[in-house]
Amino acid sequence: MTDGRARSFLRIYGAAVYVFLYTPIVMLIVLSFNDSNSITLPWGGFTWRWYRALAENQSVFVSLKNSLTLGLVTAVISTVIGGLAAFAFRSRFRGQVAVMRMLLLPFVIPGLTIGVALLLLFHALGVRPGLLTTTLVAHVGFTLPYVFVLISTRLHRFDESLEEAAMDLGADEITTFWQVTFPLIRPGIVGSALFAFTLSFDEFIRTLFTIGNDNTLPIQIWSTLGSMVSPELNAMATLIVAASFALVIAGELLRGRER
Amino acid sequence: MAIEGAAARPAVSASVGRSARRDLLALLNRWGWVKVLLFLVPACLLLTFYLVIPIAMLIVMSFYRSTLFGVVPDFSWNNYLHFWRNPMFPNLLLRSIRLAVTVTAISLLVSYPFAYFLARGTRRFRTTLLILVMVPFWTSYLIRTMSWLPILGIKGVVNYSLMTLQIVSNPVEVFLFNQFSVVLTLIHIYLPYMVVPIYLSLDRLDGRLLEAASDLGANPLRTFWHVTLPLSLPGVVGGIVMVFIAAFGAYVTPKLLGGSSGIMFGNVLADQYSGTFNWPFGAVLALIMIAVVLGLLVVASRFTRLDAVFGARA
Amino acid sequence: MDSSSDFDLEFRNVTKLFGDVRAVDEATFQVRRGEFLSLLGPSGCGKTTSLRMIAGFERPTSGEIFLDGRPVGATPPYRRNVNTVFQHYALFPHKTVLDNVAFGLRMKRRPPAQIAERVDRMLALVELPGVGRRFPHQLSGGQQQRVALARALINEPTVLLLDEPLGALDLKVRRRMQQELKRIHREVGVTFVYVTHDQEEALTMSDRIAVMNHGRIEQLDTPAGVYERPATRFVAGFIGLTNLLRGVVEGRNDRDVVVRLASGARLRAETADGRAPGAEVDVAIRPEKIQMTAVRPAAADNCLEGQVGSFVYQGAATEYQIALADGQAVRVIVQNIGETWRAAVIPVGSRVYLCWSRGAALILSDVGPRRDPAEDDEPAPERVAWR
Repeated sequence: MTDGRARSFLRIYGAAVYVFLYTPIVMLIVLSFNDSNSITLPWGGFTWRWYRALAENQSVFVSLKNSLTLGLVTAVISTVIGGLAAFAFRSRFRGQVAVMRMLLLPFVIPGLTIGVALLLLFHALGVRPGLLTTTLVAHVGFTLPYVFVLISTRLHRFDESLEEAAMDLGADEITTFWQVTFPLIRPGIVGSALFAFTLSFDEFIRTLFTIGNDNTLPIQIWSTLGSMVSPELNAMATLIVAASFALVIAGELLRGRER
Repeated sequence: MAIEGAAARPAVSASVGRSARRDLLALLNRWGWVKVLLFLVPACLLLTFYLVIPIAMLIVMSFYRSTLFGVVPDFSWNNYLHFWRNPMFPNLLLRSIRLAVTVTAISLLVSYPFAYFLARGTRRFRTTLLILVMVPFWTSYLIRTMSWLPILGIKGVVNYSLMTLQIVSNPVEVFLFNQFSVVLTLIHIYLPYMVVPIYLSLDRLDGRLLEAASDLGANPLRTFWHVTLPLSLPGVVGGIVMVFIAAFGAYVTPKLLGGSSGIMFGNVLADQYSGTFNWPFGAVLALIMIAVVLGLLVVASRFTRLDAVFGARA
Repeated sequence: MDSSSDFDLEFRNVTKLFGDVRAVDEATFQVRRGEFLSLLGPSGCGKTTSLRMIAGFERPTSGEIFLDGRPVGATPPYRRNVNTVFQHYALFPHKTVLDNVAFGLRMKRRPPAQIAERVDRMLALVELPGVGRRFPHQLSGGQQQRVALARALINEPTVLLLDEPLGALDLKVRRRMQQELKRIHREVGVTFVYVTHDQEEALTMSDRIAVMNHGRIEQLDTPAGVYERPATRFVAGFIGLTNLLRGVVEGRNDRDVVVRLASGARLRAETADGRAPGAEVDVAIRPEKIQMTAVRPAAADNCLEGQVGSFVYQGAATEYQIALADGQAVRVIVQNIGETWRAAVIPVGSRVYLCWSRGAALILSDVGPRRDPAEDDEPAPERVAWR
């Protein structure tokens, strides 16, 4: 297997995978401009009307606002809690392996079972489902391990001698954190928060079981899929994809700034 | 040019005011574990409510009984027996596992060369290529599932093309609402879950190891088999674990695209909480799902240290 | 308890344990005001740990450290009047050179005008005027090092600690920086405690050297003292090259000690060592102090007969490996004084006589294995960061 032939093969293969990855999404975007009542072909001509309909759709706005609010609150709380935990792991302490396993466990428990279990919990406690109560717990719990891993990794790469230098020069632990540690890891923290926001924004299955009468955007899409299936759905999806794209770019820019 | 004052200055400088802060820091330094505890309490508290207690509730609920008036304690294994006695449920479990395994296997085969392409290829467009992989990753799986509807349906893109090319005269139904569509869609939406871990472990691979192998007489194929593959194993195992868990726990995809033959374990589970309202039995199903996942983790941990795979320092 | 404040720094029976490992073992010494003291030794000898204990990043397991006459106890680093130049400089990458250097003074809340003036003075002292606005990554290694030095010195510490600061630099830059550091030390007058594993560096720069091994201070003396009169086999082997000839004490008077080698040859040396006849000792003689001749000299305190085994041309000198009658090998270094080296070299196999005066060698009788400088691979004790 010569190197040149192998490289070309890999490139073609890579391109094919990208095509596979993006074709459905591209189709979705294209069909959102479809002047026809079905979400699929045939093509009826180009139109903006679905986006106009979306803009006039009050319930969509409410869901969007809910998703944004929930995402923001989740990101902040999750980053703070996860960041604190990551800092705790800089020291050595008894039982640290067990605690880390518990922190990483939510990665592997299927969201459906968590959703169901949370339903049982809140029902037993008599807590009524609400956006910033029960759903928030689900979202923070869901995003916590991700934030923890991201911030831990960033801390692991951090040069501790910088903190020692600051203390050597007269800065106590708190001052050292604000003057030296935090400014240098801030892009990483913001990036983690951004990721947590995205995870929360897209989250569906746990939300399904813990949300009451409110809607987040994914919940609304789900209920719409049951009834009104029109390219307006495609338009909604397209906007969400565009937003995800913007967030990824933002995340990458942050990471680039760190170097 | 001597610096004045070096001789007159006291060795331990006196600090002015801020005694409360000093005392707090002195305390935290003396008792290091207090700081650790303080920092971990929020996360542990949250996870108690997110993970520990809910799963405990599942266990408790599995011993209840569903009646017309609600659920009552039962203290018997009835719900578990119900699972075994009706052959539909174990069959469904096996079928779901089989589907998840299929998804995982195909995903691995498809992803490994792709990850290799990303990791060992030219560095020039690497960031762009990675961003392009991440964008679907950061988009809701609901949307990605939904995006297959216009493609696979009887009025979808595939059928449209087939008819236009006159390969068939009538729309073919075989693409949607069955196991095929579920597997295909699951592979699609969880592809990044397999690609990213493998990419990370391939990226970490020191190219000089490959050079050393080559220097010692191994051709590219043997280098791959003896060096690259084993060293990328943590990533492979990590990807397998993530994709299997996601596929096995799927709810949205089979519900949307599975029709009646593509139903998976998750759908029946969820039904216990909407249609049938048999919460105790649903709890049993949930516990079985968790057990399968934990079983996979135990097996996987024999192949690699999972803590390192999932990140954070080892 | 009387601690004289002539000493800027004092260690009393300081011991540091990491688990079972004795990183520092009962270290006791005093450092005078304005002195340049080097802690010298191989990796893992405890020198860096000692430095970190002075700075406050580690606490002694037992014993006490005194700064300016007062015990430091549990004082955290930010309240000790001690500053460190770190091995990899540890300059804050997100702050300018000016902000780096001014950091310590800002922590002490000095008025901005005073800070600005002192920063300028400091940068002039380290010969880096005008780089204030740049960021560390825009400077060369040598420049970063000087910024690190300025950042530490500007705080007028009682003691300045330097942790192998020149390790990352090229040879030429390192040589120049050694002289720079000496100059700054003279100008500023602050006590320097300098950690290094490079014995040449320690010899050229220090007022006194503490040679450490496995946590113990084997000798604390001036460079000449450590070189000319090593106290232990380790010191003799670690600093420069030494020949160690094993023998047995045969007799002594108030002037000399006579040692008999296995070959029967007798050597005389001066020593204050009280070893009695019969004790097994090493005669230590530096290669450059041996005179090698082809003809036996008429009068000589000590002479051994041998045969040239091999030689290595080293430019300024030639190093010969001589085999003695009893099988021991001796290294001799001969300056290449003559016009051509080729003409002056003594060929392999020639019979030669190695002679030296009784004052040139000394007797070493410490208990302990001969230390081979090639064994420099002991792992350093694990640093548990101070939090």
